[in-house]
Parts: sequence; C-alpha cells; structure tokens
Amino acid sequence: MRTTGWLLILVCAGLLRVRAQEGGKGGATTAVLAQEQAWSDAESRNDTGALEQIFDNALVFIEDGRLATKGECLARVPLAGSHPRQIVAAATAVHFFGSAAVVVGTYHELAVKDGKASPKAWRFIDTWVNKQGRWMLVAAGASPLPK
Amino acid sequence: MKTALWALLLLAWMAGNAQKAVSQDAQQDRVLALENAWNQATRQKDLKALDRLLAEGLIYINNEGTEMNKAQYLASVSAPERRFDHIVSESMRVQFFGQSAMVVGVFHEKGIISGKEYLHNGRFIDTWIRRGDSWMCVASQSTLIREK
Repeated sequence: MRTTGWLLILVCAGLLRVRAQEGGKGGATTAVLAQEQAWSDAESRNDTGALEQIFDNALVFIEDGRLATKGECLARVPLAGSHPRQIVAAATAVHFFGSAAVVVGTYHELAVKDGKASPKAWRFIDTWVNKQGRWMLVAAGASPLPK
Repeated sequence: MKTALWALLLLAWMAGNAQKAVSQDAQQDRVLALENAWNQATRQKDLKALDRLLAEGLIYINNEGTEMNKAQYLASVSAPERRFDHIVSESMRVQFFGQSAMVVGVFHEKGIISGKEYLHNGRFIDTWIRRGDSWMCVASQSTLIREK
C-alpha cells in the first residue's frame, strides 16, 4: 500500500541496517522485521492472501493524509498490480513496548506519471502487536520527506 | 441443579463482559482525555505536563517527515521562535490491543514559526502504552491532509 496507485514501477524491497532498541529482543526484532519484509514481498506480488494474514482486522493506515482500513488497503492491491512499481524500504530501528513493536524507517518510491519519473521518499512508523505469537500490523503511517 | 449452574455461569460471564465493556469505555475516555491534554500542554508550552504524557522512548515523526526523540520534541515545542495559537483534534478513534492503544484522528493547528503564520490540517496515529494506571504515548506520526 505504500504506493500512489497508477504509476511506474518494478518492485524491490529491502530492509537495511536495523538495531534493536532493547536488549534481549533479538528474536522478536528478527520476527518483526521478517513481517515487514513479508509485507513488502506480498505488496510486490500483489498477494492479497498474504497481506490478509499480515494486516490485523483493525488496521489503520495513513499515508499523505489519507486514512485507510484493512479492507481499503486490500482493495487497492489489484489496482496497484496493474502497474509495476519500485519501492525500497529501509527500517532503521525497532522499539518494543510490551507486546507492541514500533518500526521506524524510510522508503523510497519511484513513480511515473505521463512518462515523467517522480521519486518520492517517506518516513514511516509501523506498529505491530503480538497476537498469540504472531506479529500483526495494526497501524502504519508515513510522512513525505522534503525533496 | 445443572440448569441453575448454567444460569449462574451465564450470569457471571455476562457480568464479566459488562465490566470489561465499562472498563474499556473508561480507558477510551482516559486516552482521549490525554490526547486533548497533550494539545493543551503543547499550546501552553507546558513541558512538565508533556513530560508526564510522553514515554522516554517516544518516537515522533512530524508532518515534514522529521524524526524526533522525546528531548528533541520537547525542544521543538519550547523553541522561542514557535508559538501555538490553536491546536485541536477531532474525529478521534481508539483501538485497544491488550496494554496498547492506537488513536487515529484529525488535527488542526495554527501558530507562528519564525515570524511566519501557519495553519496545518492533518491526520495522526498515536500509540499509547498502559503503564500501571496511566497511559504514555510511545509513538506519534502525522501527515498533512492535501487540499482537493
């Protein structure tokens, strides 16, 4: 869903340098980052089935001032799938607060409109909650970075 | 005897659910009150109040994509070149996940930065964590709503 819909696009996603903010959370950090990666991969494949498993039913997603629910996020996938897109995500930190994990990072998106490429960059906060051993995405928000 | 036992269990279950609902409503009111307190404390540059509302590990991303920790956020609020005339939140919705609460809403903020007036209308997601009887904000992210 980190996308503007129409536009260009090839997909690659990567999670780069990450540091856990609390000691002894290495396993949880890996698990949360694996979910972040699974999310990017599922987006790239337009795999709504996989996204369905990653998104909590109560998911709230805000990008560019727009609010979307889980259903709205999933509904946007086939639309995005008709266009290739390139998204490179880089998580920079995972913070744990009880059973919640907050991931901070940036992602870069290459979009093309009317033949013109326009790169965009965002800083995001994703919030994951551990539900019966599985990390579910409950909130995601992104703010555009200045060009 | 068996019927009475089932009735008793049903009553206990209903009472438990009712209590849970009341408790959740009370927590929701509490979190929303804290959101409003945050606005008020920001407007008044009340750093003591902000210190109580925000967790030490706060992650704050403003609508320009700048990431701040708690100290940086407090410094940005108290900056002398900044004045907050008006901050209100509306259409707030709270969702609980165990000891965490997610609040989404719309904010309107008006003020002056370095002599320049600004008016921001945006949307935010805040993550609150319950610590004992209190709640503290651990993450906040906002983006501006684009005019159509």
